[in-house]
Amino acid sequence: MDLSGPLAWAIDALLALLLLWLALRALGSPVPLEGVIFFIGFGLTLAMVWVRLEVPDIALAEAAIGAGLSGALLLAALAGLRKVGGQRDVPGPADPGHPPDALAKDTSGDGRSGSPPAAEVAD
Amino acid sequence: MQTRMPGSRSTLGRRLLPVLLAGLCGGLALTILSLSPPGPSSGLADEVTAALAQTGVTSPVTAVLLDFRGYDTLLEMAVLLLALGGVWSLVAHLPRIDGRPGIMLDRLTRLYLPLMLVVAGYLLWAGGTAPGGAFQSGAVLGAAGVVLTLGGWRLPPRLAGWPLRLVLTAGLVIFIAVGLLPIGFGSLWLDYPRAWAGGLILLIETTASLSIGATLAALFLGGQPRGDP
Amino acid sequence: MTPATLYALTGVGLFAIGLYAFIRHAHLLRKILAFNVMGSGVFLVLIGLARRTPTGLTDPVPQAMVITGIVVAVAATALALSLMLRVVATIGRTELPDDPARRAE
Repeated sequence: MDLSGPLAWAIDALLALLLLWLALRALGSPVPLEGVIFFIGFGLTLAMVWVRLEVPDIALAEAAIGAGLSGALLLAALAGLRKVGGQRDVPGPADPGHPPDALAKDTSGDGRSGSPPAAEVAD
Repeated sequence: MQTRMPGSRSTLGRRLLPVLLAGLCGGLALTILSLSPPGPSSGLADEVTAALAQTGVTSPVTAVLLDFRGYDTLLEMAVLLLALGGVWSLVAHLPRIDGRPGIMLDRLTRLYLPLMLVVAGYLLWAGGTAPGGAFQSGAVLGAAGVVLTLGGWRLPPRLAGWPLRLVLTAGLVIFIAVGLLPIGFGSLWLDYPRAWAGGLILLIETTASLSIGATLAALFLGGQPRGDP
Repeated sequence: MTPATLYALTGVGLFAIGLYAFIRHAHLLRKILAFNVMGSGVFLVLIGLARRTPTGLTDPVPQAMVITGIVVAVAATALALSLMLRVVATIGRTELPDDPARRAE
């Protein structure tokens, strides 16, 4: 793969700018769901950059773990946030498949699920 | 009292932060630009290429990951298990499934899962000579576990106790065992005998990819699968 | 400037953006996103500099380090998300109470 020449330069410049823009949108958006989605796009673009830099092992790992698994973890955490009831800052899309319900609503009566009554920090 | 008056201190901090970061950014950029033409030394690439024949694999990245810097990979697998231990200790057991997946998810899961297993197997086998290896293969296996979880499947309670823990720790245990083996023959820790190096690396990679896949899927699941009541 | 240097500079930019967002925002999930972006920036710098070989063969040792780094980052992210969910379940808000960035939101 030729890493020189004006066309290659154009592609590289475009990818670099895309990376920076996606990162800015991911971190700057007030809605966490939007941030996570832009982050997944950022991860996939980063995988393209690894291909451009001729390191295919990293491209495979980034696409699968960095974009795919990280994105799945973040989306599951967002769903968990909605269920646990943090600030109402997530507009509710439909549940992504069957999100694992991580906390609190445990039916087995396992003592560990009951966190101590919300220790309100005296403001 | 936690209320912070919007006084001069916090406003100054808020204004100073971008300036400091711009300075940091500029300094790092200057460092990189001053390094930029290809230097006379090629890092460790030449040493790796020269020693590649001793490792039994031809992919330099796999050789570095599993042979030259094998200890780092061993510790990395321990870090994965530690993270899983942390997640399991923070979260209670998962409740039972209470929904059915839609037909699209169901059909696609049945279609993709065998393909993912085949791809994971290929990546594992090809890791010795082409891009691939234990981590990539383990990542695809983990993704297969995520797809199963989203489709509503849960591990049968019979398998959620010792068998699950066996699969999770097998990669690390085998790696440590293979590492200790040369000590018994009078050599150093993790010093694979040259004739067996390729086979040992494949053995380590196979168990490692299964463990990594199980650990990543368990990290997504978020809680201990329900064992036998 | 070679393309690899361009990507290394992009990595520096990502690190700075991530660090700013990490300090500036109080929402825990956004901090986790920022930390991941910082990590990706560091990886870009590592590989951008690994291509500086006269033979054109990329140095494999930084490649192995970045693969390790990606896996460790996802493990840390998973643990951090679990911690975040536990914190939210305990105090009911997605921001730590003594975070100075909180008033700025």
